[in-house]
Amino acid sequence: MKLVKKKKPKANIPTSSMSDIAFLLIIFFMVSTVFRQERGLDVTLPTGDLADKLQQRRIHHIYLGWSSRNINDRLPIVSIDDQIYPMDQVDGILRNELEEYRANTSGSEEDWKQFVFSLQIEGDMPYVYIDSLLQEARQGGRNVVQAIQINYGARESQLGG
Amino acid sequence: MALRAKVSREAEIPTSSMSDIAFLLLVFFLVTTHFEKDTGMVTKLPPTGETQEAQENVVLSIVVPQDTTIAGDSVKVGGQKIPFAEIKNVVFDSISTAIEGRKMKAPLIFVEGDVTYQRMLDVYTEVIKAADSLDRIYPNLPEEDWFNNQTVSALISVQLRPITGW
Repeated sequence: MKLVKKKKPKANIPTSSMSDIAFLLIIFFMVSTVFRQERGLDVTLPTGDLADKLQQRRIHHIYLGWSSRNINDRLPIVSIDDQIYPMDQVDGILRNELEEYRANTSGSEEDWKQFVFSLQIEGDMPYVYIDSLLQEARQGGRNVVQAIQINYGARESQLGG
Repeated sequence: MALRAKVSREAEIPTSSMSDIAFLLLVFFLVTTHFEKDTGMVTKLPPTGETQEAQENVVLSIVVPQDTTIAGDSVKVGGQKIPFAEIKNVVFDSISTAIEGRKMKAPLIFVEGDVTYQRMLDVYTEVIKAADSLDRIYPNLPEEDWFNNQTVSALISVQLRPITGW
């Protein structure tokens, strides 16, 4: 009887499609990642002991900074959606933002929990300008939302809270 | 002369290391990508018409003056002049004493127009620290119309006010 030598099957994991999977992952992340396009204003935020990362998803930035680096020749300016406004012309802009958000969502309490005006304010900005901005936000929120969430923007302290 | 048949060789690009390259790229971007997240302190801002005028007896005023040449590092809490470092303790003591007496005092920060954002934020932070400690001890505030179902930290507010007679 002729003895047939048993063939040992090679234990191979097929890796030819591995690169396809990896590239698919790369392409997925490249396509789905959205980077913030907003330029805003160049402000130096103050540090805050209790500053923490925002949990809200719908963050609307309001930048309040100076028109010039020259202390003697500077005026407060506001940037919303990359449009620069003098302090006295913010009227209605914030209301539009709030109404637009309400129109694009169901306007439920849960939706408003995700909405926040994040204030990015220069550390040496006098409070009188901040107050005027907050009054505008309050006016804008009238009959639109029960209470607007605002974030006093600050850098996280290196020492922690 | 014997003619040999030409051996045709298969032209193949080696692709076995392709996955290594792809994963290297993937890991590189995963490690180096940094998503900037906003940081700060979130609070609620009621719209106009929704607020009630604060009554003096239910408010703990924290007055922040601008003129540091006169005021130095001090602020006034409930009319008492105190150094910045004491804000947290004094606010905590004042409010807890009020709560123990079945009353409540909402912390209200009065800021002069020229006070900088940094200064306002520093004082605000100290008041929040005191309020957080109070929230842990007194999760239920006295049952007055104003304070139902609220915590001390939810009652903190900041108001612009010219300050005279320091």
